Amino acid sequence: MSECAVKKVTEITTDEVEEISKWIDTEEYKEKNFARTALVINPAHACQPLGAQMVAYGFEETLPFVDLNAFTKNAKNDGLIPEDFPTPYANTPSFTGTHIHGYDAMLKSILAYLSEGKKAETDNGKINIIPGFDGNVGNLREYKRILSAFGIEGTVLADISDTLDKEFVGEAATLSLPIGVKKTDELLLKLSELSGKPVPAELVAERGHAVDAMTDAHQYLHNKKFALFGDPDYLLGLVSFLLEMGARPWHVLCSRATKKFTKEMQALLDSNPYGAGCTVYVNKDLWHMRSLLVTDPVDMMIGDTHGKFAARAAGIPLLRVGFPIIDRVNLHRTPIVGYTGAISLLTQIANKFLDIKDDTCEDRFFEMMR
Amino acid sequence: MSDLKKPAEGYSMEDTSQMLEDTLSIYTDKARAKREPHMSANDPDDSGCAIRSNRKTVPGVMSARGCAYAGAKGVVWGPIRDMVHVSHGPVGCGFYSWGTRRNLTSGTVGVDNFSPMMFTSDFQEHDIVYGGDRKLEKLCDEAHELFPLAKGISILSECPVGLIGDDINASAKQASAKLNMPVVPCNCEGFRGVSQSLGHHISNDTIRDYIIGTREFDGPESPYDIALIGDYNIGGDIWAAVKVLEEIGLNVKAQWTGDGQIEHIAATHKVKLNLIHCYRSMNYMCKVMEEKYGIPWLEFNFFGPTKIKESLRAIGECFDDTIKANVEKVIARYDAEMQAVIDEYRPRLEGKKVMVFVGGLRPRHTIGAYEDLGMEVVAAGYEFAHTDDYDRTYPEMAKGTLVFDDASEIELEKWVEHMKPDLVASGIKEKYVFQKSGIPFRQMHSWDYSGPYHAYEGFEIFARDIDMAINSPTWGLVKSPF
Ligand code: SF4
Repeated sequence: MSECAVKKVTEITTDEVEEISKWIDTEEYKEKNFARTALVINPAHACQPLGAQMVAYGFEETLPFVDLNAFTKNAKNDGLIPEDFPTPYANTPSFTGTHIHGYDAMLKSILAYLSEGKKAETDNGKINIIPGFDGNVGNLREYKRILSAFGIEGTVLADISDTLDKEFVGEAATLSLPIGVKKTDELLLKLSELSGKPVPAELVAERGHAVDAMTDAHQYLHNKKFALFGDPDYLLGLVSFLLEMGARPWHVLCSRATKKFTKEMQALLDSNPYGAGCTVYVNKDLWHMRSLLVTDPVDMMIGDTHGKFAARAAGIPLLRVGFPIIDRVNLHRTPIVGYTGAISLLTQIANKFLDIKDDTCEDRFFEMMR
Repeated sequence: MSDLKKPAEGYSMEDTSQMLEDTLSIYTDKARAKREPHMSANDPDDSGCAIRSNRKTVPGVMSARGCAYAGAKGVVWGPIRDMVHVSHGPVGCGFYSWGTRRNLTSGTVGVDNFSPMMFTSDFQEHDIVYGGDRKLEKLCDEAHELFPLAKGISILSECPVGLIGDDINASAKQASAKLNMPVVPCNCEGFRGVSQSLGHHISNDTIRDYIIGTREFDGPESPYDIALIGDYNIGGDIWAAVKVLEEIGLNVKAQWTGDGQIEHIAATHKVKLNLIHCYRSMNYMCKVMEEKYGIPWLEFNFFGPTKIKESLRAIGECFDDTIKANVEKVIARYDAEMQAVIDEYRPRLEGKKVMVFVGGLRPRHTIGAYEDLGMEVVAAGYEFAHTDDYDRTYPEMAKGTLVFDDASEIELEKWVEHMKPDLVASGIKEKYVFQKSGIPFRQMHSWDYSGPYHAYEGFEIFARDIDMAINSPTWGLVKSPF
């Protein structure tokens, strides 16, 4: 301990707070912020074990454990777990990849474990849908409904088809998340092709409803700018939907993504005039996003709950899509995939803008109709 | 404590012991031997009755416990608002604990208030292989540059950091000298100890080693200067508590650590009394300050009007007649208000039974608040308490009720099935197990996204919440007519 006099408690002044509050909204700050290489602030990704757990929960009566390898070996040696009790495990280190890699690794492990030595000789005619990491149970139910509308027998499982096709009998197809009309069309065409059945009238009618709703409401989204963050699958689907609506994806941020994602996203944006001007950011976090929102504003942000601070700082609404949503009820029960999902997304986005207008406009512009 | 609780109706030593016997029969011999000493029918007259606690959880069971990192980040360091708290290691530990504890803070986020944010070194394979020390020094520079009003940095180690043998202490020392502010290394890797409790202790020790005594309050001292210790401002708790303490004429000079400011904490050695609410997580520093600076400390309980009244009087006893007179005035003022709350809710809650299973304080501290509402706590358990916590619990519970430690999910299910409480008050991991089987439930770590529950203001909200949990008309829909 030094001999000099102990320092006094100092208080941060309101002037200092005001000054820094202004500064963190500037271009200059944004540059400093983007120059960061070591510190991650408000990340938009989790780690592998989360994804692995999500898979385990997807199998009924399955308990996820950490550190399974040593644990199950001991337990089996001690006779606590019967030899033939299934104990698939996956290594899901927290320091590589994200929750998405964990999901894929675990699902692959479970499927490989359960199918070991049981290689089917022939295709059983069923179709499995592997939706990938998705916390929205409404989406999973929507896939089941689509399968049953087709009259297809099948199971909804996770997207690792590219690693599975070597080991499992049957055809595999990788599609992006069916958000919006075009991506849903792709899914239904694929299901029709694989099953040899036509797209059922019920779903054709649904497509009509979705397109009807989208043309009717296009004016509320047209040219509106959006910032999006989240998992690659979700982002590709959401951007596709926004482009269909004539909306402008503007900042697309994915905190851990491959080059393949960037290429795919860029191709999607380039394929549509409304994609012009959009920038794709990878390996960036939500503090970067904050800088983007305050220096180059947009009308709405789409992402999970963790975006709420950046949205508030920018004074824009956050449409909660993705995982986790821990500050609103029931959104995980509302599908955003398929044609019904498209209607739901549209409804939420358009009505949010309309609510803001009614809540904030001057009296003389407060009108009966919108 | 002289006046023992009257025995709980419908619960007896024999019945509860039999229930425990049945519960333990599900285990293997080895697991049974480990778990048996952690649960008991309460016998307050028998001083030999002692629950075993603060031991390693039986591997493989579903435990509600957290890790040492959780105790450091979520409890002690995280709520200090004017510091950057770095979750050092892979992204997950910090990501999942981000914003989930509800220790509210004031100030402008990202300017002079950093608690609502999440800072991490987001370890990649490279950092695991080559070590993260350089990254750590770099990130301290970046934090200082981007957040110039931040008054310090805490480095909270996650498991891998300890496993690869990084020397965060050296990096922190260097950064501290360079940036001219406290950079506190906290070796709170999750694998240390048996629960979050060690994280509290380690963090208290770092406050002792790096913070306390490094500042003094500006302005004159007063005999009424106190520090409020062990209130983490869940849902605004500390704001409700400070309000009452100020009303009786005390100056709350430092808050540990709810909505806390590091320089105020650093000057706590200058106060006249430390008031401690959560004994489990911060008794260590109270004892240190008592030994080193001669500051007395007093445990108090701000849950429910009965305990608040008792506590205020005990606090008054530590001061002169001015404060004592203020205490009586404040009590008289709030008595009528509290009676109105009781009159409204008690008729709907009278006789209802509660099972409480939370951290290291609330299982005993909330008992009085339930009793104010005519309810009875028939089972109380802690996730990470120690012997001194249990000693403080037995007298608060009636004979034949259940006292337990570090329960597993299956044990809880068995006990709820047998004891049929009208309310289970526990955490997020337990919530859906019980709520989805039709049993009213409140999360009592986070106040189930409500609060504050402390002090007079808090009791009104507590009463409202407990009433709605038990008497919500939605329970009437559970049984389907077909
Ligand atoms: S136990 Fe280790 S890895 Fe898990 S949250 Fe705690 S510090 Fe992180």
